[in-house]
Amino acid sequence: MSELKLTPQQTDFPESKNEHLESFSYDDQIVRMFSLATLVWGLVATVVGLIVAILLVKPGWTFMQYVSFGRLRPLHTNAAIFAFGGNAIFAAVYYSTQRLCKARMWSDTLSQLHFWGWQLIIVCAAVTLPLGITQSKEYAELEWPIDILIALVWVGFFGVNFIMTLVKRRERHMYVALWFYIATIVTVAVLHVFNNLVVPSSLFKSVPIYAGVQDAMMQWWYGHNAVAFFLTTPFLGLMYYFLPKAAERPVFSYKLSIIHFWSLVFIYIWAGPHHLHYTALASWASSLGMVFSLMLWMPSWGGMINGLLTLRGAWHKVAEDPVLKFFVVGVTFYGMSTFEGPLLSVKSVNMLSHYTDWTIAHVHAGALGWNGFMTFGMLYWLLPRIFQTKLWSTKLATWHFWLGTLGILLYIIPIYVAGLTQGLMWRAFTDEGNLAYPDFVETVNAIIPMWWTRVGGGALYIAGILLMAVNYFKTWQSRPGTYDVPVIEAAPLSRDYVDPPVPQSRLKNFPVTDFANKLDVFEQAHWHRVWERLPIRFTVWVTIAVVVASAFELVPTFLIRSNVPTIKSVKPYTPLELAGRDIYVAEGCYNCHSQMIRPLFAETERYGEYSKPGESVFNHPFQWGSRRIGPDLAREGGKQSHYWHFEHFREPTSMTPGSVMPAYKHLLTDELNFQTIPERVRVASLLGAPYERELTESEDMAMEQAKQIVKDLVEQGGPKSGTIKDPSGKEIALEKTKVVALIAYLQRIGVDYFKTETETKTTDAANEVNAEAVAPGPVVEKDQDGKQP
Amino acid sequence: MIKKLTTFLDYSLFAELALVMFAVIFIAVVIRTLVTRRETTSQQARIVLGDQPEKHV
Repeated sequence: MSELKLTPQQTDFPESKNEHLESFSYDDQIVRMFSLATLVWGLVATVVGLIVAILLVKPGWTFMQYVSFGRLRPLHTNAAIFAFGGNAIFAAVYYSTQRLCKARMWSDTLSQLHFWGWQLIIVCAAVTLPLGITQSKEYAELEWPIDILIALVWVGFFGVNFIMTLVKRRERHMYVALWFYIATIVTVAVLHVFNNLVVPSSLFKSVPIYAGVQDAMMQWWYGHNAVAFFLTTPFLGLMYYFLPKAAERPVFSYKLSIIHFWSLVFIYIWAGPHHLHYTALASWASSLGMVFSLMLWMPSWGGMINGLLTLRGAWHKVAEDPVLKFFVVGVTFYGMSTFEGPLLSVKSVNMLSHYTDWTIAHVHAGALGWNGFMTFGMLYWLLPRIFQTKLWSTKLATWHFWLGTLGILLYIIPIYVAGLTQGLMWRAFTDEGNLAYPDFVETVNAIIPMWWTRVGGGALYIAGILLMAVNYFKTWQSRPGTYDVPVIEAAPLSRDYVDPPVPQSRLKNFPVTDFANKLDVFEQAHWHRVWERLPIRFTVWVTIAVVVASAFELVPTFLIRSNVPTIKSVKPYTPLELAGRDIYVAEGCYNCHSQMIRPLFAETERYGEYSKPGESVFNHPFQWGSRRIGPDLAREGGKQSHYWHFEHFREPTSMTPGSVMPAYKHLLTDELNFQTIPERVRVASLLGAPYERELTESEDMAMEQAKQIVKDLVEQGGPKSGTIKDPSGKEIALEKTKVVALIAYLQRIGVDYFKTETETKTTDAANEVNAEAVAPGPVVEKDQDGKQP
Repeated sequence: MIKKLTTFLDYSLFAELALVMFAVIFIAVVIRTLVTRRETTSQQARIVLGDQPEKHV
């Protein structure tokens, strides 16, 4: 490899005058690897997105259980956030950090381990999610072995390599982009670990230690901050490096970047509860989330303003340069999304938008516009530099920009319309005071044309990425036979560096008090400039900000019992219902169905009594959901016969004409492995369910209940033989099938709340459970007056 | 006894405390930033443009 020897860059800091220079070169190979991975996974993520969008309008195209909407949607979200977004972040971090630090990455080995480890995680996700191996927590679906791998790669390979590079840097001041990277690494690690605390029941199955309200709070503390610290802060770091580079001018206001960084990092952590307005979450937590979400608008727009105004005096370049086009539109979408987000956090707006496609439009404006376009801009800027050649076609890049922009608009506009349509139809009443659209399916069919338009928008966006793939490949083809490896010379940070002396008071020649002199010295902020350049101390402050904010929000949720009033009649699931619940989780039913009725008249009229926090104390994980592509199921128990559910799973349109739910024929013939039930019961008991007889007789109890369900099902019109033929022609006893377990679970949802004291005692006697017993964790117990709350 | 105490505490105060805490920190950060000399922040902003040497030998 040829080497270019380059002179050190003059800087304004004392080290530049040091005669001793060190030689090093940047590792651009790792940047090339992450850039390619970004492109590949970007295509995969968007294509899977297109597939799930098509499955909504053509549910009959679900030709096998592995490609159902419920299983593929999490694959799309994980691929978009962690595969596409993740690799883009790493490409940005590895390129910019080395140059901002004037140091090669601390360890080439860790860089490689990071890259291959991350791709392995993605492949594991791509295999396990369609197989139904999932925790069913949004953006944290991956099961525990993969979670451990994520922690190892993120902290052990990426985090260590990054921090050590900062420690070994040759540029004393840490540029603002590095702060955003530090915040990302620290916070994502904390979020990931705490949200994924589980008890494994097998190699591919685990149960979260949290339940109900606590799990909801944890999940959306994680979920929103996954958006914040995975999709916002690292991309802001990207913006602060690549936008000034592309515009060839410094950022508009460095002071603004300091203020908005600290505000963002502190405020974002609190915003999670805005995903839970009007649910069974404590009202104070909901209000806290709303207020902080509203405040978040300010630092977010600080970032947007800084980005856009960096281009002042350079707007003429935007017309010629596709990189700047992508950045300008990307930052604009950031501004739009961070205005819309706080708007959606307002409780009265959220009342309309929650569970609707408005949320989806919001997410995609941010993901396609901000994350996507910033990534594309960065890649187009990087390509000529990492391949040491010219970009193959600026015209093609410009075409990509316009196709992508059109694609985004064709996606989000109809989906905004769909969201508003859903929200308004759900709450519409006739003059007589009845629901105007009592059949949920009417509200679904009304938005199908918008869903078709979305398919077109997504296809255009993918077409743009394909153009980038062509440009990428052709640029790579024109690379030199051997890459030049510039050797950089720069002085190390002086070990003997002495901070400038404590400044003197500017008031010393004036007749002022000693206190005034001391205050003036403090105001000159010498103390802050000292720790601002120290990466470890900086990291500690970021960690403190994040942890304090998190603790303030989460600790009360766990401590206070009145946050989750217990309900005496709510009992744990039976063994068969537990197994059925796990099938519900595996099939991803939460992707379309919520289980949380809000205390709003339109909801209670449509679904029944609103959901109480005490009803989900045994729900590990919670299944409140965040979408209503199908109706809410919180009071589903007892609404339909077993036979109705049986036929509905076999072919949904047979029971609900116009339904977009795919058929789940495999559930009618797949056998449930009853031998896994004792382990499920054991883990549930470990987490607080007051089981007794279940601990030793769970298989028998499950079979007993299954036989009873089949007996009822046959009486209601099901197969007279009590058996069903699988695709190979083999006769399967219905009581052994997964559909019966799932029906058992569905028939249990929401019924306990209405059980009378007599029914509760009868159930207890039948199960030989002592109703007076108090068990550790979230269990049912009498309230202080001996009455049901 | 601690359990009883935590049961009776009014946690809605946490939201107000959080707001006060944020306000104090935000004001401190703003003051610190505004008093930083312009020359210093200009130097810091120029780091990104100066991260690659211009001359070749």
